[in-house]
Amino acid sequence: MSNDHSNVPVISVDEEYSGYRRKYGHEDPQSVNWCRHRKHFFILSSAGKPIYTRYGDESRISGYTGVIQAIVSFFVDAEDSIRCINAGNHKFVFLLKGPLYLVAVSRTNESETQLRDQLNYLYNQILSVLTSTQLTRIFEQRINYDLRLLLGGTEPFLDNLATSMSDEPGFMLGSIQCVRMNKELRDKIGSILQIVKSKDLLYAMLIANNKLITLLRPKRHSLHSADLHLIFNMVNGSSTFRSAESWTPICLPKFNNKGFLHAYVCYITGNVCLLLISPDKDKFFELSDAKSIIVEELTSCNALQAIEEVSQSEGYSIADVGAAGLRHFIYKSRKHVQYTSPTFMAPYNDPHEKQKLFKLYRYTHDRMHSRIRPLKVHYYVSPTETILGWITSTFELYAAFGPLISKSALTNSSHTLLKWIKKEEENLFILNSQVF
Amino acid sequence: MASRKKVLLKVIILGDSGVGKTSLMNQYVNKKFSTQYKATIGADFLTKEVMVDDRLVTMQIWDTAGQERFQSLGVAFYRGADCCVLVYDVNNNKSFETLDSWRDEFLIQASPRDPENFPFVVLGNKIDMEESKRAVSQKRAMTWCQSKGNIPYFETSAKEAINVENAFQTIAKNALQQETDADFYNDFPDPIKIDNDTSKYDSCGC
Repeated sequence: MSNDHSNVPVISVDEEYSGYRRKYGHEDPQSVNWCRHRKHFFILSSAGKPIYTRYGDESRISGYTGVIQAIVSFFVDAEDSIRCINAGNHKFVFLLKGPLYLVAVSRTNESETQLRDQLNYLYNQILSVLTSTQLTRIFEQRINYDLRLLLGGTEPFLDNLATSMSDEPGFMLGSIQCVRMNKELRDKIGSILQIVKSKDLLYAMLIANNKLITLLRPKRHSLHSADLHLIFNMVNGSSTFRSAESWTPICLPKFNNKGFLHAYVCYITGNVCLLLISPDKDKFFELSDAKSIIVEELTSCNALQAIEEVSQSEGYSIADVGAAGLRHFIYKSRKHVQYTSPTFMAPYNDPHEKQKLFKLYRYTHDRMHSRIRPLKVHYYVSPTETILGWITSTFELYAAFGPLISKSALTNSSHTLLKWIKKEEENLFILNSQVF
Repeated sequence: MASRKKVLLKVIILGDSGVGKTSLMNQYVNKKFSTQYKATIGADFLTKEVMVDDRLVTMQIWDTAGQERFQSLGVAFYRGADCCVLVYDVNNNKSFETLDSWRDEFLIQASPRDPENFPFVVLGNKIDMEESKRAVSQKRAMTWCQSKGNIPYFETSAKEAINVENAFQTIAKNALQQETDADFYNDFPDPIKIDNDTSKYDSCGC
């Protein structure tokens, strides 16, 4: 670099400004703080080159990714593949996906299966940026390729996903949450979306705060919850969508991992985001026009105001349910692949208490979905909560009670909850989505 | 993933046990030398950032075990290397004669796309020892390097830090040439044809 100060760029070339400052981006991978994080995620190429680390700078963990590659390679030689290492409180979980290796190193109580599910979500996030076609082709041509060159700028989405997977039960449950809303209002919105259906449009949806308001889809193509999580993560992972109409390619791997769809993304109120997804990359203006029509129609029947109000409210409280002794619950409708859960009231509005509750839910979930011996009912008393896990052909329930509740009171209360959900079903869930 | 200009290169160091692979790496990365010999078990990894032609390059250096009993890391281990460094001890004839098999072994296991032009660098180490102990002449080493497609050759001393910096600069530079920017950006996959798509899956019920 020249000594002439007038030539020195404001931002030094060595540290090119990427517009995104990570919370733990400068942590030294040799430091105590770095090691102390409860859950690390690493993504590397099969050559051992680092692609992503949840904490710190990935180019500085290249020693670790080398070790990972060496371990994987050792087992590959014996025509075996490593799945998990248990070391004290830590679990090392491996997911090998062709040219990509994904590793979770965790001292949370999450099970091997739960952690591997999370690695699959991260893998899908990478596919959503590249498609599997492109990913395969790159590494077929150049196995030494430094994939950061192509993924540059998408780090916030991986970071956001990593955080969401710890905070939201939808990932563990493989389902999504809908905004609780009066059925008539939801139907009205759906019928307005129907106005803009065309051959350019594959999916249309309104979402607010990572919850689905309504979805319009072709009769033959439903939408997988894993793809919806990617869509939510995209919208939630970048603030740019809030400030403009956007047009972005996105691969939805469960729909088709070989190609891109194209998403028109626009916030139509402070909280409510409209997505119009097309198979055609040249339809921005058509879809932008469609948005104008939707907004106009929603405004003229006062629905826009109503959606915004609903989306601003924080959901419902456990008191609305009226089940004695019930503190919190997660209910998944297996048929609709949707779940519902009340807001986190005291004591669970405290992040620490909330994490503790999640820990109990995760433990129960894992016990019930054990591959060796799956359970229908699981009753667990911890010093602070009693957790009921209950799976039938139609639902999956995780409910938290006080530690001293009797079994009969717990049973009564659970039945009250189920009755309430049945009564509220059409407002809590999208029972029939709009199709065309 | 911060900067587009950053690139990481995988460099593998091979050679007989005791020729000074770990010492060279330590001298280069940590500017340290120890006379104590410790066999490398499996592999060691070190990282160093260097500038090559205005480009910030992270070198991921894979120091391997020379002793056969620790060489059990499997064929996938060498995969995707950007450069391979072959090290011998100029005072040890056998360590020079095995360079051929190290090179062959690498080409078989790493199976690079263009083996003829894959970048190797040869280092003749321990030139700090007295001349009378020298077993391989510079001329002989250079002839071998020429016959293998003009491999760059350096005579080094990890102990006295002779030529180490220089050699690794060449290693980085040659490795970087492997990294020529292929144009993947325009390689847009085919659009999805919706009507042909009849995939069935466990879908969201909504």
